[in-house]
Amino acid sequence: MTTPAPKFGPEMIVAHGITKTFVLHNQGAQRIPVFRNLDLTVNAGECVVFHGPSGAGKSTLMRALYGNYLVGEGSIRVRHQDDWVDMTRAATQDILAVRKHTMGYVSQFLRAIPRVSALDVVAEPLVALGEDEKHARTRARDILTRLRISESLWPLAPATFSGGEQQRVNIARGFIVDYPILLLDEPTASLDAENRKTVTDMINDATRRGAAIVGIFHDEDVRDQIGTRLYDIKPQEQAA
Amino acid sequence: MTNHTPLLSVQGLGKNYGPQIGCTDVSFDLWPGEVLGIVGESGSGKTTLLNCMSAQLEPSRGKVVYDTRMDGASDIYEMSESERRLLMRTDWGLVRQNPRDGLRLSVSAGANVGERLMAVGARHYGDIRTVALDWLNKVEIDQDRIDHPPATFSGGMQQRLQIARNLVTEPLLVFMDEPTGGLDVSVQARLLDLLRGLVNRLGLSVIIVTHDLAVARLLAHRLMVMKNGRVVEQGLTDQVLDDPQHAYTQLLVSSILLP
Repeated sequence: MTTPAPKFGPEMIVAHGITKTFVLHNQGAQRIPVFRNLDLTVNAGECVVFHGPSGAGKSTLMRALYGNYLVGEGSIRVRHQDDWVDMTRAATQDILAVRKHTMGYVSQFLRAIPRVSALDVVAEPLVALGEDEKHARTRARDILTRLRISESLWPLAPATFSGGEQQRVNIARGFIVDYPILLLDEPTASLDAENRKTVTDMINDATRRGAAIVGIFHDEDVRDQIGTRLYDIKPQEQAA
Repeated sequence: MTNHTPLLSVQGLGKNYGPQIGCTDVSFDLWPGEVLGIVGESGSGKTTLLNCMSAQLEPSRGKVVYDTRMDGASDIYEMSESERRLLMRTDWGLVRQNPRDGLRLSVSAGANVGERLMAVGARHYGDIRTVALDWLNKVEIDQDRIDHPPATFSGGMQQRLQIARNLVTEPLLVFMDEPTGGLDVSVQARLLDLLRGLVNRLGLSVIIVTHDLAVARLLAHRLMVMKNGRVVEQGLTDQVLDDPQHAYTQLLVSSILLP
């Protein structure tokens, strides 16, 4: 884990001077500063691991990269096809296009969709890209098999699955498309050793094919196996 | 980056009821294939806004410009009554909260679907029946029920029939007013799944009014939050729900009960 490693591809994410403060209007307009004036660049073929104590703002930063959280200042430019999109001010449909084609995100928890089978939950991002449904399901079966989700669960909606099973469905959904950029928020948190190994292999495969990866991993082993660089985030002092 | 014209452009739209404001200062563009959710509590003006946009209620000010197939962008309130009716029959659909307002209860389910087709010129009885059967199938209504009047259907079935009636003519834009309101949760989930699938498959543009934020999250790409007749916040659906900026949106989001 030393910097800078030799030959990475082009810049994929360039964040500059970003600041995030939550304002809780219904609790006396309390201001919660999360981070200030951060710069971050991630290149293709690189796996940058956010590092810092709980509450330092790792997930918040990742959500800002995805356009899920707004930032107060700064820009987050993402290479999307032959263009750059600033996630802090792009139009809704441009952010959605970035998410559809360029940037995958594996959240900590699966947001289960009622009545949709695990197989279709996984196949969905590929179908959204216009891929034939049959082929998308075949790919979904392959990934679910690799992640040891029992075939008997495929036709069921994941709402009733165990935590670890839901997380693996979520990972499968994030990896079914070969996104140029992948954001991973503790994807290995509730997995056993065997599945953790599979997921670290999948992440390393993605880095090798040239994906730019940003991850949060509490497990030091996992960090050492996949990370090409650590990115430190220090907690801000609370405003008085 | 995006270079097509909006399907619908709402400009400075407002409606007063005497001295009372129904809604005011509403402006936005809706893009082809986009699902826009309008959320807010009862009385926030969301249904007034929907009625003004869908040509059911003349606004006090502002414009509703629709990109028509024939003449391009046109203000719907400057069209003749017959042009506007044609638009509503062909390009638009309207799914009402109460299916009994959107269906004809005394004629058969098949006729409810078929008459929209006949209104756009279909004449062959066999073809119309085939299409109607296909749509009953799509909305998961048993095909044996085609000759039964919707008065004999459950609320959930009636709502699904209303959706079939609206989508059979392949509209480009569908307005929905609380389409899952008043349904049991299990029936609601089924309807939401159906709507999601249809919207994705048909590439429909939809404007959906709902007070249910979970429904909005599942269906809408973009959200507008209304309070006292005004839009207080708008943006990408998950951003508005996960990182709300306005005090009222923060209150709405924090008031959701989780089962």
